[in-house]
Amino acid sequence: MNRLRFSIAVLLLVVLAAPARGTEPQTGHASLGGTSGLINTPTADVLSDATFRVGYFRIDKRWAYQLRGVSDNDVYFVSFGFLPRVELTVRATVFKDVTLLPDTDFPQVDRMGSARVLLLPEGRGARPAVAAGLDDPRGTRRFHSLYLVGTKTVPLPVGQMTLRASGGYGFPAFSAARRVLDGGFGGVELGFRPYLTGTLEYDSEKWNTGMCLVFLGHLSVHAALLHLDTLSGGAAWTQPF
Amino acid sequence: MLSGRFRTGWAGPVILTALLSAGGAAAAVPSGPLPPSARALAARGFENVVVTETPDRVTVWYENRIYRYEMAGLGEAAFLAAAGLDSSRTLVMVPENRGVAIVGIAAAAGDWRRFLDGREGAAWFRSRLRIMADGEVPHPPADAVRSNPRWWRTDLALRPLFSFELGIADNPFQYSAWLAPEAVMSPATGVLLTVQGEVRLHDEFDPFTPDVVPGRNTVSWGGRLPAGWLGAASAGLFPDHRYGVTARTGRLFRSGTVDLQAGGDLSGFLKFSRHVVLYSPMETWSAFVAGTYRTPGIDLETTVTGARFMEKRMGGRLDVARRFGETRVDFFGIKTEDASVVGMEVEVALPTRRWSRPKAVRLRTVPTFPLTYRESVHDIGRQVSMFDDLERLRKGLYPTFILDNLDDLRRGLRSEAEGR
Repeated sequence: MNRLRFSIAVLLLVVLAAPARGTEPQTGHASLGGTSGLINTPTADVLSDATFRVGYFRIDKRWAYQLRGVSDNDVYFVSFGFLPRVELTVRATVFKDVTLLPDTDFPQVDRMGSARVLLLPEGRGARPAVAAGLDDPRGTRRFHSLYLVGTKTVPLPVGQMTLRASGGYGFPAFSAARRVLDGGFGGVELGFRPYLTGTLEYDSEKWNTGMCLVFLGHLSVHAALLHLDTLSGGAAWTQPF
Repeated sequence: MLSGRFRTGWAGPVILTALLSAGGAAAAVPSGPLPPSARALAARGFENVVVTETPDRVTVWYENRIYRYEMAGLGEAAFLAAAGLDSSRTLVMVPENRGVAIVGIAAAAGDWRRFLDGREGAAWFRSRLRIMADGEVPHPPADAVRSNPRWWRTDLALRPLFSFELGIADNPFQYSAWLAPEAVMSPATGVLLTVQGEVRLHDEFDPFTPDVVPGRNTVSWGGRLPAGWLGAASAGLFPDHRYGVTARTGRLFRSGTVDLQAGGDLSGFLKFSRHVVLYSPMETWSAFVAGTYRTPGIDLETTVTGARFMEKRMGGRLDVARRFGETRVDFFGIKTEDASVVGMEVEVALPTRRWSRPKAVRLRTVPTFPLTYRESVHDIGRQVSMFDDLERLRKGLYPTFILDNLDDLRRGLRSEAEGR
C-alpha cells in the first residue's frame, strides 16, 4: 500500500513539476529534519547567505526517531543562511499521538536548534566540501547529532545530470536521549534535472531513498521511503531576504 | 519540562487620540526665499527640511515619514537635493528623527547623481562617501526655519499583536491575538507621544483580561547629549504590565563599528483585570552596560551586555544579530546567577513600502512586525521593553549599514519610476 501511495505521489509531482522548468536551481535541499541534506542525513551544503527556508515534514511513526511505533513525528522548521557558510535552524517536532499530561488532548512538542558551518568549500579537483554540524545541543537532546560531513559534486556526461556524493561520521561526544547520526553515514543524490533529484542514503541505521522536486525555484516537495518501505515527506520554501 | 514563549507587541486603550490630533498643523512650506532643494523635498512630503549653503557645500536636514525603509527615503531625498547642484559641490544629507540629526552622509553632488541614476555602482560610490556619525553629525543652525514641519501631526495605525507559548504541559500551544489602535505624534524636537489601546481578538493566557485594555502609552524623548552621545528616555505604561521610566544613552565609535550603550529602568507592575486593577509600587529596577561591534561588510552585530535584571539577578546577555535589509534576525543567550535562556528575535517589514504624505491626521500601516521566541517562559533576564529606544531613534542608519546597503538607496527611485 505504501508503495502504491508513493508511486501516485511521484507521478503527481512529476506532472506538477512542469512549471519549474527554466527556473534557477537551489543549492541543496532540506532534509526531513529541516537542515540542508538528503533524507535523514546532512550534506556539506549550507543555505546561501541571506536566505531562509521554512518547511514541514512528516516522518512516519514506524521509523520516527522519537516515540517510534507510537506517534508520527511532525517537523516544523525555519532555517537561516545567517552568515556566509553558516546555517542555523530552529525546529519544533510535534508528537501528535502522545500527550504530555493525562486527560488532555494537547500533543507533546519538542523544540531544538541546529547549527552547521561549512569549513571547506568544494574544490575544483577531488577536494570535497566539508562541513561540521551540531543538532539539538540543549535540553533533553532527543534528536542530537554532532557530525563531520563531506560532499562532492560530479557532473555526468548525460544531459544535465549531476551526481553528488556525501559521507560523514556522527560522533558520540555528548550524552543524549537519542543520537540521530551514530557512526558512519552517507548517500548519493542524482540530479536528473535542476528541479528533479533522486536520493539514496544510509543514515547510520537504515537505507532510505527519495525524490525531491523544485517548483518555481523556491518550493521543494519531498517524498521518501524510509527503510525503503515507509513513506514520509513534506515541503519547504526557500527564499532570499 | 519543555516550555517556551513567543511574544510580540504590547497592550492598552486609546484615550487621548482626539487630544493628540487637536493640535495638528497644516502641511507648510514657509513663504519667502528657499533653496530649490528645500522646496523640492518639502513638496515631495519630506518634513523638517533645512538647507544651508556655502560656496562649496550644501547641507540638507530632512525627516522621512513617507518610505517605510529609511534607505529608500535617503535615496529619494538625495536625488531631489542633488538635482541642479554644481557637480563639484559637496552635498551632505542628514536624516533626522523627531528633529534629531542621526547621521551625515557626504559626497560630491555629481557623485550622488552618477550613483543614483545607475551610471556607477555601489563600490565606486562607497569610495567617495564620507559618513559622519555621532560626534561629527552636523546640526542645523539654531534659528533655522524648518520647511514642512512635522510637529503635532498624528499618525493613526492598527498594530497587530500576537503572542504564543510553546511547551506548557497542559497546552503546548497557547496564543493570543490582539489589535492595537494607536496614535503617535511628535509635538516638539525629540518628543514622541504614543497612545495605544488593545482590543482582544483571542486570548488563551488570561481569561480575566478585559476585551479592551490600555496598551503602550508613553511619553518619550530622544536627543543629543554632550560629547556626541545620544540619549533616549520613556515614561508611562510599557508592555508586559509594567509602568515607570526607562532611559538609555549610547555613542558610536571607530567609524560606527563600535556602539557603547548604558541605561536602566525603574518600574512597577500594573495590570487591568475584569474587576480589579493589580499594581505594585514603582520600585523594581534594572540597569545595563553593553558594547556592540558591527562587522563591516556583512551587517553582523555582536553585542555583549552586563546587567542587573528585574528579577534582582546579575547576569550577561550575548546577541548575535544580522540585518538583511529591513529584516533583522537576532539569536541571543542570557545567563544569570541561577538560570539561563536562549532565544531568537525576528523583525520583518509589513506592507506597505510607502505611506501617504504626512498631514494633520494620517492613517498608515505599522512598518514592522517583531517576533520574540524564548525557550523558557520563566522570568530570566527581564528588562522593561523600551519601544522608543536608541535603535528606533537612529532608524537603523548605522554607518556600517549604510555602506553595506548602498544599492538600497535606489529603491525609492525605482518605485517612483514604476509608479509613474
